[in-house]
Amino acid sequence: MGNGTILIADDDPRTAEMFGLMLRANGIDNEVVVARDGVEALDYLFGTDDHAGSDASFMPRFMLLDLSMPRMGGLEVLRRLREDERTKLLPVVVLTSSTVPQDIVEAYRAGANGYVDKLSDVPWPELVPLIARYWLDTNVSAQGNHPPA
Amino acid sequence: MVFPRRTALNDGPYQYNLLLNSYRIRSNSLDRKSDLDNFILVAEGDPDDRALIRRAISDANVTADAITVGDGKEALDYLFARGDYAGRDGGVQPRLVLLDLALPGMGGLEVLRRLREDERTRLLRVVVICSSDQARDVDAAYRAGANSYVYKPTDSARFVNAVQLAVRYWLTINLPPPEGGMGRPGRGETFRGLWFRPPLMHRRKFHRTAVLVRVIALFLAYQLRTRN
Repeated sequence: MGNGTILIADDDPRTAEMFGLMLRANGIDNEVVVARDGVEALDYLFGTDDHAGSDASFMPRFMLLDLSMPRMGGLEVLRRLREDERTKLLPVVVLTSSTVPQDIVEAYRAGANGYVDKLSDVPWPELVPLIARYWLDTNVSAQGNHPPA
Repeated sequence: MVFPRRTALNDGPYQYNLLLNSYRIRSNSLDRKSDLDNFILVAEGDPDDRALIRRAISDANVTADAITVGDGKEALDYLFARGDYAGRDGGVQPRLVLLDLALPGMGGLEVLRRLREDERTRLLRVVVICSSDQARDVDAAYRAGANSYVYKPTDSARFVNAVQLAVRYWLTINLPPPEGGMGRPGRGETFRGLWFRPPLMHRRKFHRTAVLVRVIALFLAYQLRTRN
């Protein structure tokens, strides 16, 4: 596909680094934007603070969200995204190392589209292309594929 | 006085692990016939597409079976275990629902809304399948609560590929909500920690067997006692 940005919100820099590396290794050259915490992710999406002046109508194709981040956690980010009309329909996949049932239920209730375990049995070289191919090629995003005219 | 022998099932952790292991080995074999609680519900109006999706799922290398329904009312009846499906165990929900938007009778959007209104199916993972990729339809599906939206291209080979990728993604790496037995993760597919490994005794089939064994043992003990 090649078009569409992937937003990764994770305080651990290795996640985004590895994710980008695996994408390139599989010939997926989509742009990867990294936010180090929840506040930064919201700033990027709504074009506020550090990202003031950027085009806020531009949305990533999908977003990978960690649950435990400094300043603002993933669940709170998710709730704020779902409250705002601009990001209400943005596909958000929670990518975290927690497999506590309560976290999973909370994430789905808050409006997550998917929930992937970082430390899943599936090794990362298989995990990453499967996530990317699914959410980039197979899934049709409400926004991003169809930017508002 | 004769006491019933302890059965293998409550014979301590060693037996338990032994059983769990044999169970895991069996569940990993791909030719295994899947159980009734390991399935994908396919709600698709068009019989040709239904067959196509069925084939795609059986070729997707996952252990789940496809159960197909032809219209919206049937899909709801199935999920809520009522109408023609009143005899079904309503606590067992599919691990994934593939929902066509263009269902005859009650449309896919209406089905989706009703699923999201009900606590039993609120978190069920629903992937909408539709032959339109118009922004209007996509938005409406997400608004109604779809987890994902898959475009159904006219080229059937591409469609089969899309379904296979979707099934592989949702069943092997995406974790389901663990609530009340809803969409349990596959056996030997996504288990890692203890959180997701269902205790053996909670498995309906094993539980039933264990109870049966106990009843027979008690009966025999009682028989022998009264005979003496």
